Amino acid sequence: MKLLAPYLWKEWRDHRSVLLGFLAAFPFLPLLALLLLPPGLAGHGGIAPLAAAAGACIVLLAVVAELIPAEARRGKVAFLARLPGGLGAALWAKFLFLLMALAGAALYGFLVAWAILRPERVELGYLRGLGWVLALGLWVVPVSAWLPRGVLAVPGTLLLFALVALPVVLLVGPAQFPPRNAWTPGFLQGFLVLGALWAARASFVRGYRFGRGPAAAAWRGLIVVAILALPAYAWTASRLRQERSVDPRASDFHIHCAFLGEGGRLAFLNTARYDSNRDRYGALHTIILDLESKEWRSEADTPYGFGPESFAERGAQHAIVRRPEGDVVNGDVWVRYLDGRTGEALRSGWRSQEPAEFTARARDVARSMAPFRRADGGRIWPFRGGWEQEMPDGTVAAIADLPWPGAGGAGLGLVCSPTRVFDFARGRMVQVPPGCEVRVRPGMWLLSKAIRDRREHFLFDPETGELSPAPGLEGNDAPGPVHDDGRVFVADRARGRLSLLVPETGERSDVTVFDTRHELFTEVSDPAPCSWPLRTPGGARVVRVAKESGVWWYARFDPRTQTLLRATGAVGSGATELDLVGFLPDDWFLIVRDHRDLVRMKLGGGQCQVVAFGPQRDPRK
Amino acid sequence: MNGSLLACSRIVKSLGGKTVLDALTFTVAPGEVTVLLGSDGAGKTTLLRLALGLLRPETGEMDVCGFDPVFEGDALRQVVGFVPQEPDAYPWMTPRDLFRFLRPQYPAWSEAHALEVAGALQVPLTTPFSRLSRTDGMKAMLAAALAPAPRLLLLDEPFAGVDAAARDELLRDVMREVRDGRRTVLCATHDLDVAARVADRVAILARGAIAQHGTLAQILGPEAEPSRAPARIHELLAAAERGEVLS
Repeated sequence: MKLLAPYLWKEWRDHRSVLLGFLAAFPFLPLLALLLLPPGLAGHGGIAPLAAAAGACIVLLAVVAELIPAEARRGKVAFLARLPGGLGAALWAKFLFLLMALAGAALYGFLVAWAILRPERVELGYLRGLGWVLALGLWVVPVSAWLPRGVLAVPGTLLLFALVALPVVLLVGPAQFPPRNAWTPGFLQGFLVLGALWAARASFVRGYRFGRGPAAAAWRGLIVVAILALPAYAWTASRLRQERSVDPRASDFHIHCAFLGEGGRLAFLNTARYDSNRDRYGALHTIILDLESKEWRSEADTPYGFGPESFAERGAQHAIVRRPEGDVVNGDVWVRYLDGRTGEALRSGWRSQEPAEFTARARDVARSMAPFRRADGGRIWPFRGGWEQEMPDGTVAAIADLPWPGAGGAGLGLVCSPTRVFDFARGRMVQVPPGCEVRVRPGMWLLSKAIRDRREHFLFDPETGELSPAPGLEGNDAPGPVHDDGRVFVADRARGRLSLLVPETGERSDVTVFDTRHELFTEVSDPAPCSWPLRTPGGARVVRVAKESGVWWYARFDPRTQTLLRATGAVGSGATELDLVGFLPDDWFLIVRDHRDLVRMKLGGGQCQVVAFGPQRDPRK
Repeated sequence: MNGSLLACSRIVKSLGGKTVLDALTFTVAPGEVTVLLGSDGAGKTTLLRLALGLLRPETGEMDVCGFDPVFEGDALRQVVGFVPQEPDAYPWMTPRDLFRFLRPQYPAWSEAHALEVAGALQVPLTTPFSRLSRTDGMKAMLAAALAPAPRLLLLDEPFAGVDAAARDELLRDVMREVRDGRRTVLCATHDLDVAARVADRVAILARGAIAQHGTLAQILGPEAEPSRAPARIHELLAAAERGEVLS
C-alpha cells in the first residue's frame, strides 16, 4: 500500500478534473428525471439504484476507459516503466483507483438520486446491476490497453464479452445463460475478476514492456482471453458434439416417434438427446434401424424428421418414408424420399415430382392396410390428403369431399361434423341427431347418448333418420368398435365380459380373451387417436382391450375362434409410455417403450423382446 | 563482470528494422565518469535504455550492477539513477511532488539529499514541471535521480538544448555532486566540450559499436593540449563515423 499510495494520488491528480466535473454535473440527471418522468416513475424504488449504476457507467466511460490510453497518449508509459515499481505497480494502482472511483460514483449517484427524488422505498435488488458494471470496468482496463483511444474501450469490451459468451448463448439460449452448471459461477467470477487482472497484466505490464505499444499489448492480452475463453468454448464444443451426435446407448437418448417400413424390416426413428434437467431436446437425429440385424445408422442431424407418406394412422407400414431437407430460413426445402423396404433414398425433389411407380407402391401399401370397408367388402383408405376406395372391378377411385386428416372414426364411418357422418358402407353422407356417439354399420346404426348420468343406446335408420331403442343393451354395457360384419364389440362392465352384439336383435356371442382366467374387462375400443379401425397388414382387426384396473393390451380379433389375441408379455416394470410403431409378420408388433427402447411383442403370446436400444434408462425419468 | 558496473557483450539491437547496435561490447568501470560519444542516432540512448532494462537486446549479454536488466529490471532500477533527455515527469507535478511520488519506490531514498541537491541546484520546488524551464526541469530530474544514492548514474544528453551559461552552471553542479559522491556515471552526449571537461573515460559509439574507448589521455594522445581536446575528439568521432581509426 505504501508503494501504491503515490500512484493512487497520481491517478487522482490525473483525473481530478473529470471526477470533479462529474460530481458537479451529476445532480442535474435526477433533476432532469424529476422534471421529465411521471411522478410514479421518478419515485420508483429502483430509481436510486439506477442512478448509482448510471454514475458508475459515466465514470467508467470518462475515467476508467482512459486510465491506460491517457498514459500512452502523453508518453508517460516510459516514465512509469523506468521506475523500480515498473508498470506492475502502476497497473495495480489503476485497478484500485478504478474500484474506488466506481464505488464512489455509484454511492454518490445513489445518494444524490435519493436526496432529490425522494423515492418512497429503495429496491436494493436493482443494485445487482452494479456487479456487471464493475465486471465491465475491470475488463475495460485490459481492452483499453489494446486500443489507441479510450473511447473505444467500452464497446471493445462489450464485443469481447460477446465473442466469449456468444457460442454459449447461441447454444443454450439467452434465457438459459449462463448455463446452470456446477462450475458456472466459479468460472464466471474467475473470468470476470481474476481474468481481467491477468489479461490486464499481460496487456499492460508485459505488452508495454521494452518500449512496445498497443499492438503487443493486444497480442498478449488476447492470448490470455483465448486461454480464459477456452473452457466456455470447450464446453460449447462438447455440448454441440453431444447434440449433433446421437448415441442410442446413452441414458439421455429419446425417441420422438418411429415409423415402420414396408415389410417390417426397417424402422425409421426421429430421435434426440433429452436434457431432463432443463426439459430440453437436442438436435433432431433421424435413425434407420434394421430390426433383424439390429444395425442402425444415423442420417445426420436435420431440421426435419421422418414423416409418413402413405398413411398417417399408427400401426401402418410405409412404402415410402419422406424427410424434408434444406434451408428452413430461406424456405428452400425439398423432400427426400426413402424406400421403406431398403432405406435407400429414392429421389430428391418436390413432392409433385415423385415418380409414378413410387406413388403406386405407396398406394398399394395403404390399400393393404385400408381401415374401412364398404358393404361389399371393398377397401377404403386415406391417401395423399384424400380418400380412395377399390371398386368391384379392381380399379381405384377417389372419394370426393371427405375431410382429412382430423376426421374421427365412427364405427365403419367417418365423423365429418357434429351432425354429419359419412357412411362408407353406403357411400354417402348422413345427417345425425346432435350430441350422439355414432357407430356406422351396414344395417341400422348404433347411437349412444348421455342422458343425465346414464347412457342410452338407440338404433338409427340412416335411410329415414328414425330412432328406436336398441334391444339388448343395458346401462352397464359399453359399446366398442364395429366389426366388419356389422356386429358391435360390447363390454359388460358389471360382469367384466366381452361379446359381439347384433344391435337389431340384441343377440350376443361371447368373445374370449387369450390367456385370461378371472380378469374383468371393462372396455374394448379402437386405438387412439383417430379411432379408425386398426388393422395388421393382412387386414385383421386390432382393438384395445382394457381391464378394470386400467391396464390395457392390443389384441387381434380372430373371427374364427371369436378370440381376442392379446399380447401377454410384460413390457417391463416402471414403463409408463408405450407407443405402437407397427405390425410385423406372424402377429408380432413393435412398440416404443418410454421413448427409449424398441420392443417387439407377440399377439396371442407372452413373448416380449427388446429389439433396440435398451436396457439403459435414465434414472431421472 | 570483472569489477565493472556495466558490462555489455556482443549486444545487438534493432529499432524500426535498422540495426542500431551491432555486436557492441563495452564496460563501465566503477567510480569513473564515462562519456559515451556519438552522433545523433548512433545508439547512445538505446544503449542507456538497454542498460536500464527498458529495451530488450536481440542477442548478447548485459550486466548492470550485478543484475540482468531484462529479467531483474525492477531490482536494477532501485540502484541505477537515470536522467532522460527531457524532463518527463507529469506536467502537473512540482519537483516536490516528484520526490514524494518517487520516495516509496527506492529503499535508499534520501529526502534530505534530494532537497539538498535541489537546493544546491536552485530548483524551484513548488513550480509545476509545465512551468519550469528546461534547465530547471533537468536539475529537478537530476536531484530525483541522485536522491536514492544510485550506484550507477545514467545521463542521457542532459545538457542538450541548454544554453551555454546554464549548461556550465548545470555541468559544474552535476560534476560537484558526482565527484563528491564518487559515483559511477555513464553520460551519453554528442557535446564534445562536455566530454572534454568531465570524462575520465571516453567511448566513441559509431556504426553500432564502440570505435574507441579509453581514458581521455589515451584517446587524445600524450601530446594533445587540453584546449584542443574538443577538436581532437571531433576528429576522432568523424573518423569513427567513416569507419576509420585515427592513431
